[in-house]
Amino acid sequence: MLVSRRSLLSARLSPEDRASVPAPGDVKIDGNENPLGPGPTAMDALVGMFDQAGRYPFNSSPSHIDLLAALADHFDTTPDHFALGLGSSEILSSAVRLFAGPDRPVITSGLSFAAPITAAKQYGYPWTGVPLDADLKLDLGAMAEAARGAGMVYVCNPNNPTATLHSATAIERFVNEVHETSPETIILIDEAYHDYVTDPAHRTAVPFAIRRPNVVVARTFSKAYGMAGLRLGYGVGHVETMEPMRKNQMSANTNVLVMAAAVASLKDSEHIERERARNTEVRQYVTSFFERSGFRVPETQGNFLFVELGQPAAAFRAACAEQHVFVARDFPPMEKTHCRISFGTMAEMRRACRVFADVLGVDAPTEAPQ
Amino acid sequence: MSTRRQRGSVSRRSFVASMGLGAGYISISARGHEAWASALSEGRTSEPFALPQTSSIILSSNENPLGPGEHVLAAMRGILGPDGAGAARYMFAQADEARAAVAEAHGVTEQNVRLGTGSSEILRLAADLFTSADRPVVSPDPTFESAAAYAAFLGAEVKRVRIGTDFRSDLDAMIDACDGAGLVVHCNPNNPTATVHSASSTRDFIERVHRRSPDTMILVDEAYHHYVTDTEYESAIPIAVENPRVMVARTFSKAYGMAGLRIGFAVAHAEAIRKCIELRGPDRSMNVPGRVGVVAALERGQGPVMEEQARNTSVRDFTRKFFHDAGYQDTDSQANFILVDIRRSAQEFRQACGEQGIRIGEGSSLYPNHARITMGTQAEMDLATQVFAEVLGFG
Repeated sequence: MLVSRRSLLSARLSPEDRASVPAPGDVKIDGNENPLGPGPTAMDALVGMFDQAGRYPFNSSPSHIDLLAALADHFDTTPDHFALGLGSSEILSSAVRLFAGPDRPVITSGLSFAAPITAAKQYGYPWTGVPLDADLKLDLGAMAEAARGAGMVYVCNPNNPTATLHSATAIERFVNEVHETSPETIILIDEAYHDYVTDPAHRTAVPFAIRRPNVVVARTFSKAYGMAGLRLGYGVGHVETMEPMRKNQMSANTNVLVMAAAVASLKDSEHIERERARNTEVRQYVTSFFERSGFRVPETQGNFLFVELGQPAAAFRAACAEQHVFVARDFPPMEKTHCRISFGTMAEMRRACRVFADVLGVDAPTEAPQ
Repeated sequence: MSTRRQRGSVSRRSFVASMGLGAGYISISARGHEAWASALSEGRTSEPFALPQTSSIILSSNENPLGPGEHVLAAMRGILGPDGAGAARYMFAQADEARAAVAEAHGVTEQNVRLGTGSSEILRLAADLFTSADRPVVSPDPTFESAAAYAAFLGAEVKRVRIGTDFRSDLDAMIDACDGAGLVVHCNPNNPTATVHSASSTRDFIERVHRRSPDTMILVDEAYHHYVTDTEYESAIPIAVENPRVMVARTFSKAYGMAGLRIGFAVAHAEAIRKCIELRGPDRSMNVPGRVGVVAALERGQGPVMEEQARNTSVRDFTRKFFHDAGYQDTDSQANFILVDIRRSAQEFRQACGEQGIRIGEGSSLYPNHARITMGTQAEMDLATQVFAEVLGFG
């Protein structure tokens, strides 16, 4: 059998590393990426920056100062509440470095975005992952308990990879409880998937973070804004909390392309609304396919779902890959039963669901192929 | 200078207008300096679009005024795709490709390279990994401050060693300061003094530091490598791949014209690179257009950077001659900027030039009478030198 370039690459790279441009005909739904990109307004601004590719971000127009001002406008506050990051990952690892320590552990969920744990390991700080509850939601009660004396507690809302959400009320209760029992603990709320939430009980914690010195919200342009490859995220919080973060990060180190795209897209809220609506439609389609086929899906609020297949994700993933549908890596401790699937376009997901049906031995969705 | 300003003989707009370039200059500059320079050279003096009146000639940040070139932009366009969908993908595989391209272009293995978001990330990484409360950083003063500043933020002591009277790093004094240091910074050519140390003096420095303090990491910052014309100079990369206590930082922000794309890299012994990855993770912070831009830039071989070096040398010769002819002395510049003794407050000079639309660098508070001026295009320097003459009062 011929060894294709793809299989050679796959052999060399872990599934996460395979992240690349999908080849024609491939459905790449392994990275919670937006299949469409940033949209025309942002792309016009981005390409318009090609003339300034030789300029540092503090000399370009817009500059990082303009971007901070645009973020401040967006949230009706002042620029000193923000720190820019190379994606929200830099915000998370920076927060771990600054707010946790050898005697101040990082508390996270037993199954959540791993960046804070990765950072804790790198800096040699202790960390604890509090198991999810029975509905695959963060166990906020147990996390608040564990947060006593912690440097930082990490709340990913909606949570990756489970796509589950806690309401604004639940988050506020959690923040108050931690603040009372462990006033020195920083609560980092990761809202990477905020723009995909449709649950009316959700509200962003940003206004909260701006007021309270122990809350920081991380946001990213990688998801609904479609700019994962351009690397821009930000932290928002109280001025005093954000000051060390700005110092710890490479403040003017975001590339000039993404700054212009971000400034333009912050002014284009209609585009984000359209992207949310598009994702919601796809989410309903994929969720109902799995539920109809007898698989359980937790209440999903992201651009991905975490389905209980009742079989190891690895075998399912390999079988789907043979048909050029690429789903996400293992998520221990649930890799023997659950698989994370990101949402591509509706056309991609119709195709993906036919492949899922074939691999799982259930009825294919009945819609006419597109 | 304040007297001149009060006299009101020269204002930004009137000066540009008096040259017959006003409308064209102001309107074109916001489209980018490449477009502007080409318009100037074609003798066009106006453009049909209105743009901000605040545009300046930027000679303040040691950027390449021409940007990265069409082959790089074409590669960036290609990866983004016609509808921009490429911007939405993480594409970690492209970081591997960029790393492989950097390794190949420098005759080292991929295990010798770590990419970074500009060389700033590399300098900060070195500060982070090699300094601590009891392992100070030794840094020339003045120099590019990223490593020392971040080390200080993280709680390390910074031992600053004053630059010699010849405006070169005082390597002997740095050796004297290096006992027990975690990191020694050797910025070569040095920013903002623009001077360089020869290959033999760098080699000798490294040997002597390690004889005194074997565990000290020596970070050689070669951001301006491609602009050096002194034949005594050589890169320290061949030393770095052999010696686990030497790391070279390079950037695509200078001769490659990609400052806005934020890509730099470290070349070091595989053991040092492995330590970086173990302690701070793989090199994934760079943006995708920058990664493919690097590959495209390197595919062209040495030709484009050598052209850029020649262009810079010619502009540098012109600008230095301008100052020499007027009786001013500067350092022996081996970079894309000069440090010139204007025999009066550099800060006031900078402000006066800024009012005329020429933004020059901050220089150093240690040299209050020295102005740091980045080399723009020849067309920009034609304009800028007229402003300098006017401000300095010999125009």
